[in-house]
Amino acid sequence: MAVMSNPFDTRLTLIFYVGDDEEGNPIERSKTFSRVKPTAADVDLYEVAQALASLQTYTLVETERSDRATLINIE
Amino acid sequence: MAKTLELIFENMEGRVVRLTLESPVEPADPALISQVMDEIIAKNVFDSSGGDLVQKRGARLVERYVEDIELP
Repeated sequence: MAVMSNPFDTRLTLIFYVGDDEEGNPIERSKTFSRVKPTAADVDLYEVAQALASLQTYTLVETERSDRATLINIE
Repeated sequence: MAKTLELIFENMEGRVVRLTLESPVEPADPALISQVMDEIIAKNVFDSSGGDLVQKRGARLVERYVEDIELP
């Protein structure tokens, strides 16, 4: 079987460290940007995440890329 | 009260597209904000219902005021 992957949606999620809870465990908050181009390069998404993070006070701990694609049987 | 930073762009159809961030650095640094917006336009990683983000429209700090109402 031959299956083609058809990307249709990509999201960029920034995970921030915002402080600690009463037991000293880190509290994280995420900010998701939808409508990212599936063709966007990883390096460009990473740099955009860093640039956006520079405008706010929380520490950026992780940058996540989520790609969704439909799988189509092309036989 | 919690503030958010709104980065306001125009897309190819001239429509407004907003990106928002919580807990903005204050006081706002207009030069840095402008530079980040330029970088977002240059990297061109975001899509919108009216195409690419092509121009800066503005930026603003938005403060939300919430007042709890004590019910009798």
